[in-house]
Amino acid sequence: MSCNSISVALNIGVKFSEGSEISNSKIFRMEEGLIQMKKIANGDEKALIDLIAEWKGSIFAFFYRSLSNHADAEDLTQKLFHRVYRAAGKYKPKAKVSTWLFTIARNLLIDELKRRSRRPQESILVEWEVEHVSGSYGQELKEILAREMCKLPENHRSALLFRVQQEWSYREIADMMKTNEANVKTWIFRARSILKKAIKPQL
Amino acid sequence: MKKADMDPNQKIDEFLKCKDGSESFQLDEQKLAKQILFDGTSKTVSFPSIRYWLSVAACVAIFLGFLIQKKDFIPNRSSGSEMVQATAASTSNMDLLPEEITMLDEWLLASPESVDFFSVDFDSSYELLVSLETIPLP
Repeated sequence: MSCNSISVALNIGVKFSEGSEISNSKIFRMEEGLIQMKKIANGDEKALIDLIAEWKGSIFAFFYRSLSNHADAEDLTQKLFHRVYRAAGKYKPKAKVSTWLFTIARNLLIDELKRRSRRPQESILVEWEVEHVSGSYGQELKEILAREMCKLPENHRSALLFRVQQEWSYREIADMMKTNEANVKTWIFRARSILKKAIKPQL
Repeated sequence: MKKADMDPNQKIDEFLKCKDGSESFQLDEQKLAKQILFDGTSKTVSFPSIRYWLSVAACVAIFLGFLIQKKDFIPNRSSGSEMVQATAASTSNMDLLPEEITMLDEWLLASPESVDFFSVDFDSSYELLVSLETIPLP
C-alpha cells in the first residue's frame, strides 16, 4: 500500500487496511467527492454545474422510470439538486457520491409517492393519458412496462432500477436500501418476473 | 424478427435504462446552478435577520414584563389621611365588645389632639394607658 493512499484514507476518515475491500480507486473517488461537496457547500458555482451535468441524466432516468411522468421527473430532478446543495456540507465520505445522491433521490421519490397517494385518483389518471399516447409496437411495449412499473412496490422498483441503470452490486443496493442482499435479489427477481409476464403476449 | 429482439430481459433493460427519456430531458445546468446558489444566498441572508428580530422582540418583551412586574410591587404612596381612613374602616370591621368600644371612645376623648394617629402625643397616651392600667408599670 502506498503512503499516498494511507494519507488519503486518513484524510477522509475511512478505515483502510491491507486486504480490505475498499480499493485505492474507490478511496480516491470518495476523496474527490468530498472535495467537490465541500466546494459546493462553499458556493462554488463551477463545482455545482459539474455535479449537475454529471448526474442529471441518471437522476432524471431514475425518477422518470419510477413515476412515468416527464414533468414530475424533471421537477424532482431540480428539487434533488436544491437539496444536494443544502446538504453538501453534511456529506460524509462513508459512501460514494452516487450512493449519497440516490439516497436523497429515493427519499424525494418516497415523499412524492406519499403526496400522490393523498391526491385524488382522477388527476393521476388524466396525467397518465396525456403522458402516454399509444403508437407503434415499441411504444406499446413501453406503455405496458411503464404501467407495470407503477404497480410495483417502491422497494422492488428502486432495487431493479439501481441494478439496471446504475449497475450496482446487490451488496451496494442492500447497503443503500438498509436491507440484506437476499431481500434485494428477491425484490429484483419478483419485479423482473412481473414485467416479463406483462410483456410476454406482445413478444 | 430476430431472436435478440424477442428477449424480454433485453427489452426490459432497454426500457429501464431510459436512454430516449434522458435525451428528451433538457436541463440547463448553468441556469439551475445559478438559481440554486441564488436561493441559497437569499435564504442565508434572511435567516440571520429573522433570528436578529426575534431576539430583539424577545428582549423587548422581557424588559416590558419586568417593568410591569416592578410597577405591581411598588407600594401605593397614599397620604396619611387615607391611611387613617383605611385604619378606621378596618377598625370598624373589627369585632369589639361594647365595653371595649366605650373604653376606646374614652381614650380618644381623653386626648382630643390624638384623633389623628400621626399627631399622637405619646407621653400623654402613655400616661393614659398607665391610668387605665392596661400595661404594668415599669
